Amino acid sequence: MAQRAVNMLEVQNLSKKFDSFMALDDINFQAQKGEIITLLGPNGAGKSTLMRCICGYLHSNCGKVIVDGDELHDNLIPVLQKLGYMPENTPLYPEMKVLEYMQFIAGIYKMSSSEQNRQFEIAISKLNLQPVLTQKIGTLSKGYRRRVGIASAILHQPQLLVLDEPTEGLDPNQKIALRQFLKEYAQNALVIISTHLLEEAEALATRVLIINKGKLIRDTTVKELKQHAPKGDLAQLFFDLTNGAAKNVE
Amino acid sequence: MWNSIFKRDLYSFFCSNSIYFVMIAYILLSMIVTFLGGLYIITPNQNMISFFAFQPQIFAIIIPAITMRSWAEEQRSGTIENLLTFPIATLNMTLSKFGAAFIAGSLLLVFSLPLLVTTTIYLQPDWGSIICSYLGLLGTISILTAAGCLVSSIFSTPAIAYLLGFLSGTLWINFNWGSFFIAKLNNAPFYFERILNFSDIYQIFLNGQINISAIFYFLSLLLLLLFANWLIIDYRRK
Repeated sequence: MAQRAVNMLEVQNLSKKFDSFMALDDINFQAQKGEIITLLGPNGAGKSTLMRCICGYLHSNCGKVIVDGDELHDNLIPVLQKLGYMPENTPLYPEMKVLEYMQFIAGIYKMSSSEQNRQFEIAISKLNLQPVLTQKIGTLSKGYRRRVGIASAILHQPQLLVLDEPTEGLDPNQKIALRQFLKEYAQNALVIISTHLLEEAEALATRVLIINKGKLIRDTTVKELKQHAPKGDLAQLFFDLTNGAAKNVE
Repeated sequence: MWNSIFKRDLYSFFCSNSIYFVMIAYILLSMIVTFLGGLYIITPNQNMISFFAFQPQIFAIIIPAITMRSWAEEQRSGTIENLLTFPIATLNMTLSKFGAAFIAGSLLLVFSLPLLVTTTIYLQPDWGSIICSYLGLLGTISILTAAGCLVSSIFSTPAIAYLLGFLSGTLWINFNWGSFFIAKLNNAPFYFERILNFSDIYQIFLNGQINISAIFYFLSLLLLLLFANWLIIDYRRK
């Protein structure tokens, strides 16, 4: 009998409240390796909260996050081993040099020195970190900080990579290089990114989850979105969806 | 054995400029208290009593400056989001941060070596008392460090963490807890006076003795504070 493939990520009835504010309201979706999911939504829609819940930083009020068959909070440490996360604004230690920070991350994941060297080489070349390796993180530009954050998130080759607004602050060349890298990475992993930029979703996503006011209002693809967009104008569709005019575009 | 968080925290203490202010403050305060307050030159000092007598009060000022950043800075800068999503057990994180701050605080005792050498050369040192006093002081540093880390895990502003760490440490060292509990509790055993007062416990070490109740006092307090710290961080995770 053929075995049913385990979803890389399952989010079941996830809700999160901050006092009386409903940040996430009954979110449900599943995802597999090989997908690049873009969480799309206006500022304050709940994208970062959803990512924080998926990564175990925030505990949901109800619902479950299941990563590769394991419930997140019941198996926190094993699940976190499979997960790479870069939070919004890329918080890093400014007093550390880039290489020292990467060594710190390698230590966290108990990587052997040969594995460490191999992964350093990949991360440094793919994210073009060579020029800043010996520079203190506090002196880096926003774009380089992002890249260091992404490098540290992928260093242990996680099967689930969660990046909160990864292209924010990158110049167009860096954006294109990063998109290419994420497409390559997603061949053997599930990548979830958040953005409020339509072009980002268009360029990268195999699947788009549109979130507004804590609710998942669309689980679709860019192609389908374009079909529904008035005159192919995705921006207009996004505006209509996130301003409660969804029924007009159905 | 030494994990990444321990090494990183220790590294960050010695990379920041504030550690030099901490060192200078410790040396100045220790010199003032030992030579002016404790009258080291004219008092019999085979056991370095002029130095050890007021060290707990000095460390109550110094240790919160080391521990204030342990958790508070992570919360303020947002790196706590990285930290809590690393596959590391909460107990491991708690002990690593405590361990790094404890080592940084204890290393300040290196600055007492010139005084130890002077005492060894010019006086006949009472090694039993001196070693016991150092051990008592290390116990004191461990409690102040654990209290500082606990406060730092509650507040996201390092300055508030310093202030409350300093106040709690000073209160613990100077307040007469034994008499307080005897006055508050009916039928409180008389030995409360001796087993709850920090000054009485510390005096045991200064006298060159180590007894079970003194060790139990430090260990139980240390475990209680570390447990509270673990509980706060684990609550954030679960």
